[in-house]
Amino acid sequence: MLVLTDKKAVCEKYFDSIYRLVLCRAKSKDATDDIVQEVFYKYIKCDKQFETEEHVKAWLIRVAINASNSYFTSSWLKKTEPLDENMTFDTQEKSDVYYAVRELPQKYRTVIHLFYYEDLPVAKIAQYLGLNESTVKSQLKRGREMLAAKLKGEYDYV
Amino acid sequence: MFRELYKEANDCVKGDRGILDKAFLQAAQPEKKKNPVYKYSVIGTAVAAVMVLGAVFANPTVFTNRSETIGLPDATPTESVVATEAYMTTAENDEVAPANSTFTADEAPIVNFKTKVTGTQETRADIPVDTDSKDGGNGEYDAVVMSLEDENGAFVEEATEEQVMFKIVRPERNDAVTEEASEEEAEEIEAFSYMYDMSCGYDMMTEGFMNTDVCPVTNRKEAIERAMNECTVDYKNIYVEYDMVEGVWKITFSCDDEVASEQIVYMNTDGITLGIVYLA
Repeated sequence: MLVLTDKKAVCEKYFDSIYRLVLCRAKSKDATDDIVQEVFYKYIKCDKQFETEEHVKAWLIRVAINASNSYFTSSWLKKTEPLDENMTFDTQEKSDVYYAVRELPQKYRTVIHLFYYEDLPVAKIAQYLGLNESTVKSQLKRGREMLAAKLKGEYDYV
Repeated sequence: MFRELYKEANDCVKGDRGILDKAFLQAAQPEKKKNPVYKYSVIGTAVAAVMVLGAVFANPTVFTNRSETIGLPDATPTESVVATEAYMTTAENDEVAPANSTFTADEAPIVNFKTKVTGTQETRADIPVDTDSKDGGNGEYDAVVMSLEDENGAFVEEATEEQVMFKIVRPERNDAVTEEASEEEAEEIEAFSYMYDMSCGYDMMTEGFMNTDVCPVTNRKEAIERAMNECTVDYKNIYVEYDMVEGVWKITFSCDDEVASEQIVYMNTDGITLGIVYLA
């Protein structure tokens, strides 16, 4: 079991999850690195006592979403162009799915990522994003429709 | 299934774990002020300083001429802003000029002024003005509004002396207590541009507020007390700014160790909340 007072261990455990969430929302790898560093910096400096691992993860996800929102509100950053990250996947199918999600508008890919990768329920996603549940549901529905159009409807979006 | 495939695809994405080392290193260093408002104000100040120097070197004579006409034009949003820091002497009597009055050059001769770029939203700008009354006192006006416009109302970046216009915009102060409080407030409250904030695309709440009745807000303390009506969380830090052009208070509440750690309340001088933004 993870010792929650060991911040290094907590950071190591949730790094990939937070990195993938931020990368999903960010336009570039550089922006992702900056935001992820900011998230874990806040966690390291934070004096809050977390009771469960779930609590820590929820806190990190919320801070990551807020940090990326703040980062993207900068007018300077709005003008930056996304970089070609040259990510490699072991199958073309995975690559297609990943980039299909990346090409969605940000609000859709965020809920898609939280729902399908983090397995979060709609209520939690709504809480983290500060949206109504009905809004999240409609964004999920719209996101699935756009993915189905991009991926030729080959997948079951359960 | 899409879910499994998307998870497997994400598992192929690996971040550089050196980021964690950087975060720990950053945390070990002395803490710097991280308020985003502070960051933007530093950048804005640096840009303004560069443009002031550029403007002064480009045409130094413009900045030493005296104005012939002093009056308030209609505020017209344009593409750029030049604010002038002006130093004026008062009229030939000792009375403080009434609020919203205008002046001729003889009544309020400008002894020195210079320009600096402060933003991109309005042609108007608020300017602190020091005045010396005839009896040697130090009568002070809180601010004037200045506009650099030609006869067609178009923005003029390098104005001639006929195009520079001033007007007192704040009510005159009637007693020493008010004056002292205003001086203290002027020192503490930072300026911001409401128009610029609105252009940043924040996800702002615009209804469902507590402050819907008129309750004039005239200083920092009142602004904080009024804005706290909109807070449901006990925040640790409070940062107050004021836009003199729009007459809007901006109160930023922050709390580093909470999930919802920053809340910005925009409020007009009647104490009515205009909008609320939640940030990390």
